Amino acid sequence: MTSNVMLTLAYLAGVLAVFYLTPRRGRQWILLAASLLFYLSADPRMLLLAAGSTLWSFAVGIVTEQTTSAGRRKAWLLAAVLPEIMVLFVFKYFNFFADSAASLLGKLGLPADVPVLSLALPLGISYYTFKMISYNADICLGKRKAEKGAAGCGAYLTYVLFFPQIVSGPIERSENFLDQLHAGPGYDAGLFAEGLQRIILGLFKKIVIANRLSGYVDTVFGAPEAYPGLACIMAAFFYSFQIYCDFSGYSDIAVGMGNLLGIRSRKNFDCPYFSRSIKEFWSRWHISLSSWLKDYIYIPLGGNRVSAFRHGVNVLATFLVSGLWHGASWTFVVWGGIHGIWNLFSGKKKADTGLLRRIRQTLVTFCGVTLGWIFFRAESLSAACAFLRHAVTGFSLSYMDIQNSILPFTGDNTCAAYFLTACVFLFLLFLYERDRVYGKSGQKGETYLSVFWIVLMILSLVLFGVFGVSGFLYANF
Amino acid sequence: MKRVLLAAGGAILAALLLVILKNEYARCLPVSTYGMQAAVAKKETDHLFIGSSMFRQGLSIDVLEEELPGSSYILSYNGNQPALMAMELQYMLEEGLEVDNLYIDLYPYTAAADPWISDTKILLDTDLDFKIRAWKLMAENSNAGFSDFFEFFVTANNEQLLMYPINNYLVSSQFRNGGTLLRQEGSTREELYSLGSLGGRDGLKEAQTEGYRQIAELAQEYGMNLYFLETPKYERMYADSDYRELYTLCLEEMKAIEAEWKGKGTFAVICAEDLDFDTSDAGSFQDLIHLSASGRDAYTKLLCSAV
Repeated sequence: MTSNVMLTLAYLAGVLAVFYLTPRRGRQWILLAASLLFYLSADPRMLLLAAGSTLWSFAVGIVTEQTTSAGRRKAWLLAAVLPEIMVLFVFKYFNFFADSAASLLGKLGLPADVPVLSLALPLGISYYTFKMISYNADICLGKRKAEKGAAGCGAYLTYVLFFPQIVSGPIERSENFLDQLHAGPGYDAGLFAEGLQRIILGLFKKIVIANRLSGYVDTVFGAPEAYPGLACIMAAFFYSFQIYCDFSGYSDIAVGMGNLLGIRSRKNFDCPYFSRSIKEFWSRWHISLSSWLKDYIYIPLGGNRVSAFRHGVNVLATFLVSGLWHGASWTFVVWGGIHGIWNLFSGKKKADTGLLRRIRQTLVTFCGVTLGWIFFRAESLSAACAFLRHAVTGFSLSYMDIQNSILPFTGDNTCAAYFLTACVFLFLLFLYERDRVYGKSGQKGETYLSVFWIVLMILSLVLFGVFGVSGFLYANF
Repeated sequence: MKRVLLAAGGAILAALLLVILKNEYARCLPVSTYGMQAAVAKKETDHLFIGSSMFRQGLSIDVLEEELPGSSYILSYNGNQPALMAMELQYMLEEGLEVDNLYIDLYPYTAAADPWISDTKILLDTDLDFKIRAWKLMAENSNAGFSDFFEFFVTANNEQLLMYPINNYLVSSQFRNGGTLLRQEGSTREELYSLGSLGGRDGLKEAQTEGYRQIAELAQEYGMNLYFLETPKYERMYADSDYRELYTLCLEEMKAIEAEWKGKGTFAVICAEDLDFDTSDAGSFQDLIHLSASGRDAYTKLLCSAV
């Protein structure tokens, strides 16, 4: 179910019918049942772990709130957070660190016989662990009250395991979600319409653009040496668009699904490729994660109210955690490191200047982010380096290389049509997002799709959707 | 809310209309040098070759035009099967194409496969009635499901149609009378046993052998000469027992059809082994089943002298 967005939407349709037929006060239990059933169908073996972790977090939250001593509150916070992190570590990071240690010991000539765990990653563990940590931390810091009683427990379970968000986020904050749940989610025509539009936009990004680009990207990243350097450069840029459309597409669908169920969520992406600096990029990309890292890693480490050196360490540590959160591999660590170092040397948000300068700043930021994505996408550090080397040394603009750079789209003489179609849809996305960032006030911000865009996106979905590709990239993290 | 639902409903209706228009009228925007519509536009051809990529890679239009009297046309679609070739022939004849000599690709693996349109370009060249018949053939003989139906009628070829002016220019420039003009094709090397996935290992399929028979009936009815051609495969293919078995079955089928042949024209089966073609020369092959440019020229010359 998790790997197929259409099935998830079909499931949502069934949930919606039951949800709106149920009296308002009982709807939170429908959401809980739907979320548990979703998890059960997707990853039945791990439901106990997810539910057990959530119940532990819930119970420790109550005890933390009742504790008056600051020291003891911190101890209870550790009691909540450490098991959550340990579980995440065992499932996601143990093999990575064990392999790295064994490799290091091997290079030192020492015997290295480390155990390897054969564990499947529980569905949504990276997302629900961060949700629970923020909940317990907020109680410890006195930012929110703990959930109590059966209704509170049910609401907290629903928040952590909420089925539209369990696969790929966003990492919703508890206060926003739980307050709405306690108020009793009801039908709001405006919110419902907004949800439908978000789902249309998300499906367009995912099925029309991301899936269309995935075949090309996978082919070239799979064997870069078999293609010209130009193909590698094109694949890197296409991957930038693929990961954005895939992830923000899912976020749009997830937030839209929540909207249909009467839950309003914060946006997770805000046209990030229009950013003019790396700092601005991180205020627009995966906002729920970047704000989480800022609130629960960067600021507790001291933020910028420390020495310049310590501030640098804090920034770097935050981005390394971000890299590791995305995956247990050195490629993600390097990706996080690149962004951390770039952030350190990046100035404050650029003031509005001339058009040409704005375009240059935007392009420089986009190219830098794309360079980072090569490490993010590559199978290994050596593969990333080989990819970059081939992109540079194998680059030419000969007719043959241009032809062979388009060929991976379909492998036959229809590749040019596929390439041009992909470019048309990327241009449409650019037009849509440009209006969101630079458009007149009526087109900016949260005002959603005009009739023109709804018709265009649905037509594109039906006629140009690539439905054979399943799964979301960020579901792997 | 009303605005969203109206727009969504309107978009779906518009999509449905476009799908119907595409399936009936996309053939009015044909590639001018390739495919069924280009053949029909010629009105008549002395030598019509219908086959798969074997013919595209295995036959040189330049040599055919030099060596054979009259005009030639190569109709080739990837993975083209006997059952579909019969439908294509019938479609073109009904559209008014006149043919004297008909050459059919005799590739045993395609005869052993369940009927399937593996090259959606066929759909660009045909009307809705052809597509419905092709779909019925696929659905009755294979596991075609909703996703296949959706691709078949809704999404297939939309990119080519959206980019028609550019796509037509590019593709048309690569062909003449259906024959490829490219001298340096990309590598499509396939392993021997992955080729087995083109067909099953349990003999020829009835729908495909029926296709051969229908072709023979049409050739008789319209008074054509009929040739079944097996293009050369690299020698390793002939050493493969699965291929040999299907090849033998195909030849038996041809003998049965020949025994029933009552046409006024010629009926002939010309296999690679009947010609003096060196199947051990790697330079003549692009991969195990496709001839290289030099192999294509050499084979076509031999073929022309044989017919």
